[in-house]
Amino acid sequence: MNRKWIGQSSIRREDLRLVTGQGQYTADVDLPGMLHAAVLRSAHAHARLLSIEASRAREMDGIVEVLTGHEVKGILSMPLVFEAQQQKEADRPCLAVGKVRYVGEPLAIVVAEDPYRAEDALEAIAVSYEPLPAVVDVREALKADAPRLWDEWGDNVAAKSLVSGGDVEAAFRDADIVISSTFREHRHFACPLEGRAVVADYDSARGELTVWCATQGPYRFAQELAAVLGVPDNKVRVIARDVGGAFGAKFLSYPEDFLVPYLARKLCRPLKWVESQTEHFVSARHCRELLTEAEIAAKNDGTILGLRGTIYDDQGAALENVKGRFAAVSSIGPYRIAAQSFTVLGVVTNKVPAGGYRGLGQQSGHWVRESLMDQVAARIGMDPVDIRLRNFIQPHEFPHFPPGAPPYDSGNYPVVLQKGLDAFGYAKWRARRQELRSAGRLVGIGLCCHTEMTGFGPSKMLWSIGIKSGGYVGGRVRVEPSGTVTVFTAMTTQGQGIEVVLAQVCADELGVDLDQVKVVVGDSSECPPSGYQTGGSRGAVSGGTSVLLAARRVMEKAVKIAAHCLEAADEDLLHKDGKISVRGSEDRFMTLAQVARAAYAADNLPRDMEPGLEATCIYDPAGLPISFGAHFAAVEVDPETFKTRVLEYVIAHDCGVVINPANVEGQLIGSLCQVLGGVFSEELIYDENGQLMTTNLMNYPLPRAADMPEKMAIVHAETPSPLNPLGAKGIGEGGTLGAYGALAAAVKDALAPLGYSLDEFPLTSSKLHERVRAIGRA
Amino acid sequence: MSSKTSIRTRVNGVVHERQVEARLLLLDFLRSELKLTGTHQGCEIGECGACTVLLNGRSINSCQMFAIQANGAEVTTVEGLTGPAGETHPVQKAFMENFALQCGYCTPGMILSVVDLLGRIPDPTDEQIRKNLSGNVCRCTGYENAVKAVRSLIRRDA
Repeated sequence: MNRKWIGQSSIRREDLRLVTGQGQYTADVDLPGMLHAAVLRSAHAHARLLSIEASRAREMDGIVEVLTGHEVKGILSMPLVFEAQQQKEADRPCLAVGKVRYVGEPLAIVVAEDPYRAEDALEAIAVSYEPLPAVVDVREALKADAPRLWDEWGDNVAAKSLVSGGDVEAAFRDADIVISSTFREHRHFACPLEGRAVVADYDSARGELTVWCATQGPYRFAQELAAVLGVPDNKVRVIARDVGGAFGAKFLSYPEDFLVPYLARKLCRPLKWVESQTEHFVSARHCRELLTEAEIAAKNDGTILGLRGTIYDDQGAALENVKGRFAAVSSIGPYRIAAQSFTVLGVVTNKVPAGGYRGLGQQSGHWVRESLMDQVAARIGMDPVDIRLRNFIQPHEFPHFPPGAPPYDSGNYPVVLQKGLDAFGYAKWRARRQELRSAGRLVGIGLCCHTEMTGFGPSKMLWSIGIKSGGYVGGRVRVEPSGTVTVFTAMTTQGQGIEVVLAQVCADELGVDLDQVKVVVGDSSECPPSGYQTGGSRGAVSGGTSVLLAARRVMEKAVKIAAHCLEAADEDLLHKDGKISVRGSEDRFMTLAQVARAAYAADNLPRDMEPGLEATCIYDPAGLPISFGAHFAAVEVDPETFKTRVLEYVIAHDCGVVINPANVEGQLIGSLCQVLGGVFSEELIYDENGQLMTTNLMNYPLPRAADMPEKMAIVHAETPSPLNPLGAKGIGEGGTLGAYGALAAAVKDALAPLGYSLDEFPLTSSKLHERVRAIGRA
Repeated sequence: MSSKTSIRTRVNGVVHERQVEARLLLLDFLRSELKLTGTHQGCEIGECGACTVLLNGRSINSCQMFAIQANGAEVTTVEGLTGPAGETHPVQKAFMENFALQCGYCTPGMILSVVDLLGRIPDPTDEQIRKNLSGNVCRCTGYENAVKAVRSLIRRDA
């Protein structure tokens, strides 16, 4: 296979339309006769819904329809798509009935001739609540007398799982050292700049429903819509052309995603709903917020024997437990640790339901283990780097089968770590830290190594862990009669540059120019199926492989056609530099364009061969390619304000064969930026009544251009994956997975002279100040 | 029935006369009335810059202004930067060449902020670049390539 395009930082396809303002985001869709919806949301965190009276709203000027829970109960309920080993169920109507369980829960939906009037009508809906005590803390929620979100349950535990492998009892029995700690990760979320939006159009003459949605999974969502609305699935089409960032926030479906199409069909008029950002804060899925009690077992020589603990996953008012299990599965990381056992409790609280955000819980699992390893190292007087080197899975030990986690395909951890050490200047920083500390400055350095599960995933594996869908992804490659190429992919464009990556893979396989390849994304009818959404770091790996394999099938047919036209045997043909030529007499050749012409003219094809030149591959991955990263941070904390400056940050990573280096770098820097926010400024804060205090960008500050580290470098290595013909691994979440741990370690190190030893996020100036003062008082 | 006011604005060089409600935001006027959807709704409170346009040559958040306040004004949106035959503006080109965008949602606003910056300070320092970009939130890129894009546009006289 040629590698002319793979490895190049080719310019992205979507850029021209995006920089000129010609993108097609869901809110840009404009249809004749379109109506507009607005959603009324609960003002209470926990209450019985006594009555909801919409008659005054219905009479207002320009108001077409108002739905409340009564009208949709038994008709529109949320599907459950993630199931834990022990899973409780409950009916979740798309509009609340009988009870509300979080501030922001949808109560009613108004349809009006214009969006401003729709919003006006919300105020005319009279809601009568009987407030109930709210529970906003995981430990409180587990008490016997805690307010219960679902009365029919005996408690507030929605989901329970055990992630384990190896002999944990033996590990802890044989340990010389056992260290335990409590890790607190705070609530924050993906917060993409484009909020949620849905536009639906029902063609009653054809019985066909078309829905535009800012979703990560058009195919998956189309299937859910068909099931929930009772429309045949061959008559549902979901389109997501441009999505303004997702990061997991647009992964699971929402009540509005079903309400809007339902109403469009009922009213036989197109309907649009676009949320405001304040709505996003109180209704788009939150994430993070894990409380982990963990302990590590080690020998005096630094060998890690095992890990165990309990993860209390505050999942808000959601049934599905997502992040907690991903944290547990990440506890082993890049090490030869032989045993682990984590109980994951998915606990419901009166807060916005939790869902996805880059990494899910993986970053937490890595942080917990890296911190415990640092603590073991400190106890035995070993350098943090040395304890990693001692425990790394070695390059010749792959495939590796970690306890309680999916198998690892390949890796060269020591080499990548060394690249990182060199780029960061680890020895130089250790010396500098000493020097600056003697001058009274609070400077610290931190390291975090991590693995990353990518290319989600083998269908059987997904089903076995309770994700109720396959993990396959479809790619179709069609060579047009003139020799241009169209690629159809099940992936969607949400900023990650998937269009050019797939074009690069296809162009190399077919031996054509990059510009000849067009990529079609984001349409559940035009594009092939995908079991899983665009996420799980699977775009380049799984999307790319599906396209490569489809292109390979096209080439097999092309060679047969060329052999027939050139009167040679298939095995005598060479495919090189865009030509299919006869070995030994290269002046006898056909270009792909000539083959395509022959394929569609059909006047001289091999006997029994169908005309045309296209192929589809529905790729079901054989396993999860496992990427690796080593993150290094040097920080300084101001002793008066406790504001942290990141002086230097280095990421050494290995995501196998890289298709587009600029894309990979973009993912790493972009995710690092998100983590800077997640660590130093972003916190979703609830009061004891379940009121969300942080509802906009003024009190939930996102990082800005001036907030990036003063010095940054990314170095990489390529250890190919044997799991796919590209040799590629994913990287979409790589920056996230190591950054929390590295920054936590660096700040902890910086504050060590003050006696600080907590494993808690966030590391905002006010929180650090509070915690340091508490040490002083103790 | 709300009363409407007549307004006259020149948007991207074209004069528009419309009847609008007093409470119609300039952002919504551009998107819904004029169908110029390149300007995006982000936070609605003037914090994120996704709705940035140029008003009489200076960058403003169009979500923080009513359409009636733009009566008699010249507005430039991202669509106005592209030439009649689709020729890209140097700032648009620099963003593409430097991989300064990912999902593109913040990009029109950021590009207009950069146009405004370079109009005032043709040779900004890195610190000035970052400070002036701080009104535009980007959730995807981490800003580094946008800073590179701006640097590439600085004309340094020999």
